Amino acid sequence: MENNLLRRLKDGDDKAFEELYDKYGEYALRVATAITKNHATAADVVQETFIRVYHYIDNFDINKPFEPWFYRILVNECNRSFKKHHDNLPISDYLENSSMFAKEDDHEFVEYQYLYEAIENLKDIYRIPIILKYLKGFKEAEIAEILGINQNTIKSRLLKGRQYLKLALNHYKERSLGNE
Amino acid sequence: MNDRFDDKIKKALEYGTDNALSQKEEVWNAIKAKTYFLPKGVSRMSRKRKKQKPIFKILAASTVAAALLLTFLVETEPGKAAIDKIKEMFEPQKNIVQDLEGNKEETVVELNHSKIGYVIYVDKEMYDLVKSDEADRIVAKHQGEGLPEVFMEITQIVDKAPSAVAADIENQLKTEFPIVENRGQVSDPIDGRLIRATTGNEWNDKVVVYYLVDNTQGGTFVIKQQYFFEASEGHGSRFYHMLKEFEIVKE
Repeated sequence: MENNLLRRLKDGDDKAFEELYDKYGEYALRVATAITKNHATAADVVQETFIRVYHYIDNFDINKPFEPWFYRILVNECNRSFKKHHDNLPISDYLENSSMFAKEDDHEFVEYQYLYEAIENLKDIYRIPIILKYLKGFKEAEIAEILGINQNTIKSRLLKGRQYLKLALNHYKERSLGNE
Repeated sequence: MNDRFDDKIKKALEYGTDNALSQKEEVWNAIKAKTYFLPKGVSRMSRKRKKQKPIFKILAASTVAAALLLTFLVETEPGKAAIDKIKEMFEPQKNIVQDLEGNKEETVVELNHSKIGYVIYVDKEMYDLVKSDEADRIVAKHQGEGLPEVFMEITQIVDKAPSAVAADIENQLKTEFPIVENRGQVSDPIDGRLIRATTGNEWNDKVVVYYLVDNTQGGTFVIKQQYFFEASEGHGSRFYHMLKEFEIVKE
């Protein structure tokens, strides 16, 4: 089905492009938001990613999986935006400005909030593989392909990133218990 | 335990990015403005030589036939009466359906029969038609202050083929614009060579699109469209639809 969609896109079918956006747009926005930590930048990144797909779909080999190619473009666009804007909203501002953090009485929600903050505070080398794995469900080999990094390195970075998150969450729990 | 923690990471990422989804439509509209609703003649799609549907083949053939027949008939008195008859082939007014910013819009367009040997239907609600001996200019009634003028201009070079004109125009554009794309031969919205130039990709950057159409007499109709980047899906699309109705009628 995906091949059919991509074939139609290659043949210049405008409707196929819209269907492609419907299919990949939401997760592209999620991943770009998690990586850039800024909604406006994420919107720009996703916009540029789809425009690039539109213009360069002819270069894509239809026999290969689409998503690694797509997310490689998206991650590159995120990197480009990092270089362009050094003025990303600090995470503390982001948390304050974000309506999703209003429900502070919900323990589980606050735990997710804390964990999300911990993910955002990870170094990029751990953070981006974590986002690709957990948000999008990519396998290590696919993440290696998207980021152009050796698979063993990805494996090790995922492991370390995960360990850090676990420590951060434990720290949060201990702190919560101490406050009770 | 591990699976549970993995699940928490996933959920945290989903919670953390839920708000991003509210931008989906807005982002799509921005993408459309730069790709999908560009006039097909200036988009990636047009670089592919789509198979012409039979109706277009028939229309193309009828255009050439009309041109040849008119050229022949104009030589004789009885022929002049016949010309009037053939002109009746073109209704003075008709309705067309345009794709504009994602919506279908039915528009009344009026026939313009030019002295230089073509007909085109003009959306006179949005544009003024300014005729002179050298050129017909279809000019937007509402021009933005400080923005590039919006118009479509049709002229004719009687002694140069489209390939030669294309080379001249491309060279000229390269001295004025940082981005110049010679897209070669296209078939939509019209059979001709397409060259596009722009000062950039910001909303107010100037966009110039040339279609160079063989006039069937060894010369070239030069169709120049000009607008600003953000108007691609508006004026650009309206010009595209008007150009679809362009027909050569050599007299």
